[in-house]
This record gives sequence, structure tokens and C-alpha cells, in this order.
Amino acid sequence: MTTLFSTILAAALAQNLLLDGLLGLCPALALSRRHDVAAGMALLTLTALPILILLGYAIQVGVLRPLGAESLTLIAWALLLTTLPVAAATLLARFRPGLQALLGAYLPFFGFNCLVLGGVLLTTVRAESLIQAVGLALGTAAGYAIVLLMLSALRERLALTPVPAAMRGGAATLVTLGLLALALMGLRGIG
Amino acid sequence: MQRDADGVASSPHIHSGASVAGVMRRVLAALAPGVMVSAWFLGPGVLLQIGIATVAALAAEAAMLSVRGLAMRPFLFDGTAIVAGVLLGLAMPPLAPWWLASLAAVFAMVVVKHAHGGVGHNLFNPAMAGYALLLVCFPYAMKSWPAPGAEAWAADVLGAVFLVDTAKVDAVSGATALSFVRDGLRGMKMLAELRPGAGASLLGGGAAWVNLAFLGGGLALLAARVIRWQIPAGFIAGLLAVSLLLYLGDAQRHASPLFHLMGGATMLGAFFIATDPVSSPVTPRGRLVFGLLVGAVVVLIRRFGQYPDGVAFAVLLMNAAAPLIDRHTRPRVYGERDTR
Repeated sequence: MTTLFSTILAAALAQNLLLDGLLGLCPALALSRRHDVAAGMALLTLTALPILILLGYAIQVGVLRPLGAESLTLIAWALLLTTLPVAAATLLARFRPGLQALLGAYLPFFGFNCLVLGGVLLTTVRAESLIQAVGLALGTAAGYAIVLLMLSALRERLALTPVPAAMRGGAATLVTLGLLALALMGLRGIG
Repeated sequence: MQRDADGVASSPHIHSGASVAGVMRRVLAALAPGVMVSAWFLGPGVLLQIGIATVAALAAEAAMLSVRGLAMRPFLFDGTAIVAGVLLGLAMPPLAPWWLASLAAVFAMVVVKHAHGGVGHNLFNPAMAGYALLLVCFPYAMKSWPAPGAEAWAADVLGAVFLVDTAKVDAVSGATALSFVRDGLRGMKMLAELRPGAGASLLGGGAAWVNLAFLGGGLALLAARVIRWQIPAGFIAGLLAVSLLLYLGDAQRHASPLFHLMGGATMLGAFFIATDPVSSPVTPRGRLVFGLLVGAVVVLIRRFGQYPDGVAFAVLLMNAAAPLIDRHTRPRVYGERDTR
């Protein structure tokens, strides 16, 4: 229980995928302009990312490693991570058209970027047991979702401020993200 | 007359005469006792660092105002750059080389303040962001605090700061009480084993007196209604709650709540840093949540983290969360549908 908790904490905060690993920056920047969109993406991350990470971990540790076929890991992950989100998008369009309209353009890419691939890779490398893998999967997703929500609220405030012309838009957002990463560095060692 | 929970009447309002410069003057006055007590215990280096940081902050502010084509006089002397400089100088180790505080002050004004729109618009506390930058980039220099009771430093402050004579700094520096306790506890020592080596008490080096002085100044600010009670109260409650939980869990492996309350930058953080009106939440409930979380994170960083004190990072983290907290604690207007 302590292991699980501290693994989640470390993966969510000090080893944050976005701010420490610098992975998944594109969806974070693209989807954090509006808070409602970011909230949808955060929800999607919280539900889909742990599942994808744990499936990737299971394939690597449960199937490929016993077979001695670890050289196929990336190919297996690419197959898994591209088909599942597309399947999810199809299901969403059928059952939740509202959410699909909001996130539809992004969902197919959800499985084919550094956010998910990085999450799977780092989890598989770091996890020494199944319980750690579960903790890393949950923590990675939670950390990404929290930062996405914080960033979108910050950006909505930033949009109202007289940022100098040279810094407007992307530049000011990147400065915000950098300061956020600086703040999070203080949590090194926790978890 | 109808008044809401904060005692604010409905419009029309009469201007109270409060201005940014006036508020900042009162903040500076309230900081004075703490600054003097710090200088008493840690030497003239404290005042020197405050001077360096303030001059650098004012210079950077003037440069940015001129680059951005804004009016120099009202913005340069509104006191915000001076308060940021003083807070930064207070956070600096007294014998740190002059360029450290200058670098942090320039970063604070240019990147943290003006890149986000200038006074009233910065998302993060400029002084704490500058200090955090130094902690991350120059961890060794930022850890070199004069050991409690070291007498030799008094004469060589100028040499250490301006000629960057690190040998002189090394000769007198030692672990602060906070670092000493954490490193000892991390080395699986018991709290009882730590006491003898640390001088007369763990609150030695005047930390308790410095904290009391800042508490006094903070209460004066509260009485003058420059700050509201929610953030300091939340900060102290959060700090006490988490440290008490840890302490009750295992009193030998965690420092007491009193140590956290009277050690490090607790009171300075609670009354002067976390209460920055620009980068903290606006709603009363949001401020309470903000304060509680800052206090809790401070204890976690002090106990489990790697940096000497947690106040700067805790405040920055919660600055980042402040717009989110505001969003979720915004009072619902009567008749509005809850769409959060």
C-alpha cells in the first residue's frame, strides 16, 4: 500500500511526464487553451492512459519477455497504441457524440504520440513489480491531467493580461510552462 | 445598508484612498522588524543582500518599462519591485556572491513579471521564482548559510559578497537547522540523537526570534487590513496539521510541529509571501484552500524533499494552481446554473 501510494505520488509529481519528462507537450499545448477542452482531455487521460500503459506493460512483461521476443516490443506497442484509440473513437462516436465532437479530432492521435509511448516505455523501464506498474500508470495519468488543468486555468488568465507583443501567445505560454516546471522541481525526492 | 460576508456594502463605493504604492509602503514597514532581527542574528550580510536584490530589481524594472514604453515614474516607484527585492534579499544566504541575488532579481522582473504583463498580472510570485531558479541552478552556493553562532563572518561580509571569496564563506558556513534535521532523519537517526550536536536547541541561530518578528509584522498587516486572514491562517493550519500527523505517527522520526512553526521561513511565508494579492486566489474560500495547501506542501518538502526550505516551491506550486482554485471556489451567482 505504501509502495503503491508513494509510486503514484512520485510519478504524478516529481517524475511528472509533462514537466520532468517533457513528453506529451503537443497535446498539452494544443488542448489547454480552453478549460473545458482541457477538462475533457484530462478525463480522457485519466481513464485511457492507465489502461494503455498497463496493456503495453502486460504485453512486454507477460508475453514478449517470456518468449524472448523483446525486439518486437516497439512494433507490438505501435499496433496496440494505434488500434485501441481508433476503436475508442469509433465507440465514442456511437455512444457519446457530444464528447466525440469535443475531442474527436484529437482522440485518434492520443495513442500515437510521445505522451502514451513515453508513458508505456518509462513505466516498463521503471516498474520492478506489477504493483509498481499500476502505481506508475495511475500516477503518470494523474500528473498529466493535473498539470493540464492547471495550465489551462493559467492560460485563461494569461489571455486577459497585457503581455508584451513579442511574448504574446505561444511564447508566454512556454514561459508559464517553464515556471510551472521550476515549481515542480521543488518536489524532487518526494514519493 | 446591506453588507455581504466581508462587510462590503453594495455600490456606490467611496475610494478608500488605498494605492499600490501605499500598500507596498505598509508591507515594507511591517517587514522591517523581521529584517532587523534577521540582521542581528545573521549579520550585515542580510542587509547587503536586500540592497543588492532591490537595486537589481529596480534596474531591471526600469529597463523593462523603458523597453515596453510604459510610464517610468508611477510604475518604477509603486513599490512592487522594492518589495520583491526585499523578499528576495531575505531569502538569500547572507554571504552569497552579489551576482546571485542580481541574477534572481533580473529573472524575477523580466521573465516572471513583465513577460506575463507586468504589475498586477504576474502568474507567479516574482521573488520566489527568482529564488527557486537559484536553488535549482546553484544548489551549493544557496546552501551556504553561516553556521549558528559563527562569529568570524562579521568582518568579511564585503569580501565574501563582492570579491566572491568562497573560502571565507566555506569557513563559516554550516547546515541550517532545517537541513540538519532532515539530513539526520534521512540517515535513519532518531530525533533525540540529533539534539546535542545542533547547539543549544534546534531553534538556535535565532530562527524562532526571526519568525516571531515576522509574525508581529504580519499581525500588524492583518490589523491594518492590508492582507486578509484566510491565507496566513490556512498556511499555519496546513503546516501544523501535516507536521502533527507525521509527528503523531512517529515522534522520533519527524520534527515537532513547533519546530516547523518557528523554523525556516514559516512566518515570512505565511504573512508576506503567500499573501501576494496578484498570484494568490481571489475568493475567500479559495484563499483558505490555497493557504492550507501551501502549508502542507512546505512540510512535505522540508521533510522529504531536497531543498533547504519548502516555502518558495510550495508558494510557486500553489500560484500555478491559483486560477484553478479560483475557478472551483467561485461563488455561484443566484439564479445561475452550475456549469462548472
